[in-house]
Amino acid sequence: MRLTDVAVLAAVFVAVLPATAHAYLDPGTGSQLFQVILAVFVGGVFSIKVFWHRIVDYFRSLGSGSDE
Amino acid sequence: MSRHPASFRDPSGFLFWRDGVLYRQVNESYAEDYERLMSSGLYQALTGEGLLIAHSEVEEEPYRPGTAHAVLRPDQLQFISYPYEWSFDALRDAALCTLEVAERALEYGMNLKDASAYNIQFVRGRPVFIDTLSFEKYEEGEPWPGYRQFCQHFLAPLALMARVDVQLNRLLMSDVDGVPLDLTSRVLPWRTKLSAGILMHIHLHASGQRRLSGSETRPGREVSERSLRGLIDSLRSTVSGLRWEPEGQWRDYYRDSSYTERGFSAKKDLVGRYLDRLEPGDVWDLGGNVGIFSRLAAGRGAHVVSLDADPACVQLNYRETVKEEANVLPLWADLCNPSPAIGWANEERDSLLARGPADVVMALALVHHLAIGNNVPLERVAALFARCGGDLIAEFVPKSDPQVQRMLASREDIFCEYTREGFEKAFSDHFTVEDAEVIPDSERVLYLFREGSHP
Repeated sequence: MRLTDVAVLAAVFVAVLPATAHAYLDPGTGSQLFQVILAVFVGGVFSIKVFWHRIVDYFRSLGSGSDE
Repeated sequence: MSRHPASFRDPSGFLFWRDGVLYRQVNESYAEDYERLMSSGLYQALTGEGLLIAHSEVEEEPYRPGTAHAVLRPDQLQFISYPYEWSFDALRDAALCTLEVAERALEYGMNLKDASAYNIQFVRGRPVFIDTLSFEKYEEGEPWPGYRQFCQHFLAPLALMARVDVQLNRLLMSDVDGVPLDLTSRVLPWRTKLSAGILMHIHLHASGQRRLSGSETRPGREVSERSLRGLIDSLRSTVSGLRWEPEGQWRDYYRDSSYTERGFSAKKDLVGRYLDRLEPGDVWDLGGNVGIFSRLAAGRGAHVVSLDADPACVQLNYRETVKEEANVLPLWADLCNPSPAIGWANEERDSLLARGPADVVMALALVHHLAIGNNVPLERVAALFARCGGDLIAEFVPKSDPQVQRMLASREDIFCEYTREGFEKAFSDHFTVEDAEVIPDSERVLYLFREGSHP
């Protein structure tokens, strides 16, 4: 992941979260809600990664096919 | 018969001891998930790859028959170690093992419901997940319940060790549920915010915990299975990107001038011969350095816990153990301040000494560090060794030795009893000398002590 991606993520994060900080009640609840938000982002990155690997594998298979 | 003091948080079941054997009771409330684990193929897949501890279902009387579904006899482990005693690489491998288990569970329609570092133990340098009751049916849309715990138990200490100081995994000792993320975020240098993984899973996560913990919104929004895999993949990349290379004061110890080549080879032969006479089932190698003598004992069939105060040595020892699949467990431990008992009622994690005694203790080139380097009287050194195990192989390094001379150069010589005679006398309260040989080309003496003082 590049720095620009991280900057976008940080901006999205700040925009999505409530602006006021609440008392530190239960990190477990906070973590779970955070995961729901984060998962959308990392899920997207993961999809792109899987798609990219497929493309690379496809061209590799073409390359190895022409060697034979 | 007794219930394991660390096994009380999970209503799915618990561990208990009977006649020296550890059993796991599976409660009726967990029956469905347990049967799913066993019948889905997940158990076979995980145990087949050595990722999960194997067990057999036994016809043993349950500890609490009213709530029991089954009684399991897991493969018995020789020694339980804790993450604050592991080397950097060991904690990292444990983290990757946990993620692998979580990912495999998803493939079989199950979710790993926690990600505690205490659920991992090491067998021949390989991390193994030991909590058979950590799996539950995966419901589409459900987040990963172990996310926060994974970040606190693994990612936070690993990031602190790699980016601040390797000794910071000691923080795991002061907080039994892992290193708090807000603390980690404050301690990590600012530049770690440029690392996407650490930014997301530590810094933003800590901020999210703080901002969202009092939120009116309850968890309920869904996480797709693809996103869950993305989360695990992202954690794996982050963990894999963290590295620590040792530069310890002892890593070149065996290459320095303490022994000639002939002397070192003779020392190895002699330790080997002493071990052959003792035939120990398990050994504690105190001050085990990079584990050369630990592996010597392991090669003779013993399970060896190899303890050293230098995290660099423990790291190198771990790497060698992994390479050789040796029956050695390299742990970071300071004998002047061994791991205490921690957790609920001071009973969840045992102190180091409560996890002994071993059949045999080895203390090679160690006594002078304790007696002269730390002002511990020889009687107390002997008493500690006697608590750690039965018979003892110990090396006496006299004052005339260059190593001791170097230590004495910076301090007043108040150690008038530190002589060969004084050493033998101090150890005679707990041990009987069976053999003693001088290591060639040195004045160092290698002793074989038997347990118990001479009548």
